[in-house]
Amino acid sequence: MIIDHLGNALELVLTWKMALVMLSCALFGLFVGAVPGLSATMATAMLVPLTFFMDPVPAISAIVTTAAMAIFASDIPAALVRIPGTAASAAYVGDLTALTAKGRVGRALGISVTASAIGGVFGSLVLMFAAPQLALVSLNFTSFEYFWLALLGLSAAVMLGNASVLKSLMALAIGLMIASVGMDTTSGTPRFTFGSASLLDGVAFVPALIGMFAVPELIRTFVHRDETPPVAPIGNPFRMFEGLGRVLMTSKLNLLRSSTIGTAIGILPGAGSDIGSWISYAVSKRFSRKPETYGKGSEEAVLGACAANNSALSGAYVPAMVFGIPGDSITAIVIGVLYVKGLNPGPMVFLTNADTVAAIFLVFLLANLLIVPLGLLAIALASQVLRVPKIALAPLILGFCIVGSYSIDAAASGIVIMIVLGVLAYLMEENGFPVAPTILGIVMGLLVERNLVSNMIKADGTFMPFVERPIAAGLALTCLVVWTVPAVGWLLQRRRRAAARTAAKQES
Amino acid sequence: MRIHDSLIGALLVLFGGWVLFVALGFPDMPGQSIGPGTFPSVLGVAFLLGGLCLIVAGRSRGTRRLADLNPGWRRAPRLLAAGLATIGVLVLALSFETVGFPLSATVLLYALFFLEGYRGPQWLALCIAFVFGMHLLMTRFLLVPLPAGPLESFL
Amino acid sequence: MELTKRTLLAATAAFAMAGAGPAVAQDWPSGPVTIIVPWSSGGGTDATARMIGTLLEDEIGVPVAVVNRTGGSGVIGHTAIADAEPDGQTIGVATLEIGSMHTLGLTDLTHEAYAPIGLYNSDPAALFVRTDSDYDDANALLAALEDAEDRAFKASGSAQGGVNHLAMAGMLLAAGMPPDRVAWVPSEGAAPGLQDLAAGGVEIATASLPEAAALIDAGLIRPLAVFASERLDSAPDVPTFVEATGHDFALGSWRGIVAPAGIPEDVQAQLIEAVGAVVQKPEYLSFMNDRGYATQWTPGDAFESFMEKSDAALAESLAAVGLAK
Repeated sequence: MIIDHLGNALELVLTWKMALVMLSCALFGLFVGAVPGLSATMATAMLVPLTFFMDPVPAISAIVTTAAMAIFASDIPAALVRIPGTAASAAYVGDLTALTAKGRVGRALGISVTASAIGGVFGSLVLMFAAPQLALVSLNFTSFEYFWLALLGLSAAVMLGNASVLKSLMALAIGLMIASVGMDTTSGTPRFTFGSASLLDGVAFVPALIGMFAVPELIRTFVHRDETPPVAPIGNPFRMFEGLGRVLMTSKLNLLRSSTIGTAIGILPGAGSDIGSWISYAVSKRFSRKPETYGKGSEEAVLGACAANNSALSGAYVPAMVFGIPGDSITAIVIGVLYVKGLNPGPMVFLTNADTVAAIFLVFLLANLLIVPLGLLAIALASQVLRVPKIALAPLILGFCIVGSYSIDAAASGIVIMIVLGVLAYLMEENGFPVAPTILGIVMGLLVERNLVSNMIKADGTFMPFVERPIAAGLALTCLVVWTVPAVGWLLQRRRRAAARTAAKQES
Repeated sequence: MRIHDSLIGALLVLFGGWVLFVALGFPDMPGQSIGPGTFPSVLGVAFLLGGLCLIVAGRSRGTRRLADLNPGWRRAPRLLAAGLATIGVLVLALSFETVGFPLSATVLLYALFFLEGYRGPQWLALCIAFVFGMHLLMTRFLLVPLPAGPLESFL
Repeated sequence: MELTKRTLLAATAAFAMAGAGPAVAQDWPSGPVTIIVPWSSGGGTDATARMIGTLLEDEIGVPVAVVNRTGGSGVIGHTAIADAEPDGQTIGVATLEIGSMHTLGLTDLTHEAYAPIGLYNSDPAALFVRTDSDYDDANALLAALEDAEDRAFKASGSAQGGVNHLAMAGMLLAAGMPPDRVAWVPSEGAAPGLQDLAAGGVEIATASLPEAAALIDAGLIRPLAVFASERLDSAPDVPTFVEATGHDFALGSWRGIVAPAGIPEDVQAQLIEAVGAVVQKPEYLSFMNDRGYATQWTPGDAFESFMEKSDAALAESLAAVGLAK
């Protein structure tokens, strides 16, 4: 059991060298994450060569600390200049920017940092005590279950906004369409590439994310600057986090629920960390007393989605450690480093290297705790940027967008993708099409398609296999409920209103 | 720029039709009943249906003007700034490897500041400091090979 | 505060290390050497290339940078190696896909665009079923396949036309069955395919043994045979396919160091010598063993003829499954 090895693990972790490694990696992650347009994946990938010179525990903790910190830190540019860093944070970027516009950037990011830490600690504890058992659960998921889960995540994205369902659906379809550009991963057929070699690899995600959120905001700043209300000034940096404690105290249930959902979905490789925060967002909206504020600057929404986001990240390490199955690009890097250090992921590593594994879990905990003090400091510093008028910042933000979309693949095609999708997103937002479903569509497109294709091959033209397995049937039923309940509610409301109208007519 | 829902619907119908046409032309995977065209075809149908619904929904809201430009677009400096931030960046991207990041980005950024009314050497200095600072940060610290174009030997 | 400054300095110094270093004045190397990897960081090819890069740095006394040029199913990275200046300052890792991608019609590039340095690893594919399956050995599985209808069995382990798909098709052909006997469920790489096998989504999977190690250790799946000419040192209990069934069939992925064609012969010879020394080092060997990768060293012309053979074999398998263009 992990508990028995905690003593030895503490000896491995509580050293000056480890403190130095974790602190410098934390600062590095914080810095890269906070630069608009640079991503956590990039920060982690850059560390890989360095880990070759380190012992196993410092090597893994360097990667884990950097990743945790960079993922949180990317919420800072998301709130300040609307450039989110990950697909998961795209779920609540609308709430973050709305809160910033109201002058509550300290509260908004303060909630983000503490909820992230709480979710991360929750996920780490689950990882510590139940990783092997939970990993077995994740192995009950075949392509059928993944298909329904992905559909559930996409449904959440359509339902969570305040836009019309039809327009949200079209926005989602646009995202799925963008995802199908490039060489089909199963057959190798180039699709919708117009003969371009750089599109063979598909539409790069980070430039798409930067373009679809930041560019519309830039165009609005340049062109309709008199229509947008001025940003409320930020106050004293020492008082910007006021009221944070109260918000956290009143949302204990939301935190627990979101962390549980995040961890549960996070342990599913490939799907988990991306859709965890979206599903949790939709669930917390469903249970909220003020669902109408979601998407327009709801603190509850940020809190729930951030907690789910970071607990899902910890959850993603479960299949990575136990079966060597990566959940996303960061866990793929961690698996690579584990192999290099002779800690081959697998159930055996929990027995043969129990001390090291326990130490790694402790590092997960510490990294998540380290987020809070460093994060609050970074927020207080970074928020000062809001003292500069938006219009004077705009050209520099464009500079960040260019560098960010180039640097992920070191290819100028990223810049083209950023601008083209940015203009598309501007037109969409002007006409009431939300961009968040498009972003999720781009991330999930391949997963949905791959599993749909796998399922159709396995089912040989029949439908029953889609719902034969119990978990698949359960997820399918949930999807059905998610879609029919609002529709039935809408019909009932319409009939009631019509009845009221005829009753009123008869009375007059 | 606001466009009438019916017009968007019509565009989506056209787009869906094109997607469907292209997707049905993809070769099947040998030995499989489905192939690379299956999923895009589903999306094509979704665009067709969604576009039709939007046409109908838009008509019920009356046939006003087909497109509405915000007043900001009629002011030349703003139009130019938006054009620079989009088409200008496209040109920058296409010449990225030859002209390099430092030169093109400095010109682009200063032109934007200029159009916004921030003119003078102090703003040019800001642009140069920002662009060359970013270049240094990316190439030296983060090891991203941002091209420097003719300045390659100098930097 | 002081601590913060110090750590920042440490981090900066550490990063500077990767970029700068003393240049040694001689013909080759005339400056830092770059190794291009056509696959993403964290993967197997990347890890082995980084290990070689680190040791090569000591061997030749100049910095060696490993650069990942991913995308296009390996086309982009493989092309970047071929297009590099042929001066020995840029080399790269070529993988099995160099033989299949031109047959698939993705590119015109073949192994002829390279000057061979040496083959350092090849991992044969192996045949897997779930631990609770009824088939105790490869013969039992083949017998069941013999009696089954086409497409009644599903298998996974790679994309359509990937090395593991070709292994499955080649196995069926070798055993005298049509490739259609087993329906191939394409997956993005071995890990998701093996996971689908463990979860009960498919009945059979093909993948290399190191890729399946964790799931084998967990007791969820077991190997029936390995598609190699002799048993592997790392898995002496797993019979070869020809031992188990009498049908001769071998296929596996491989990795080798190549330089762009046209480099001076003496530089090529120096590279062969330097990399050859690296792959004999104990650090390298223990790293490869720990990770379960087979090691070998087939330098120069022998590597060239190996690539030729691999190319021809892939073309044949791809034609059999109808993917050749």
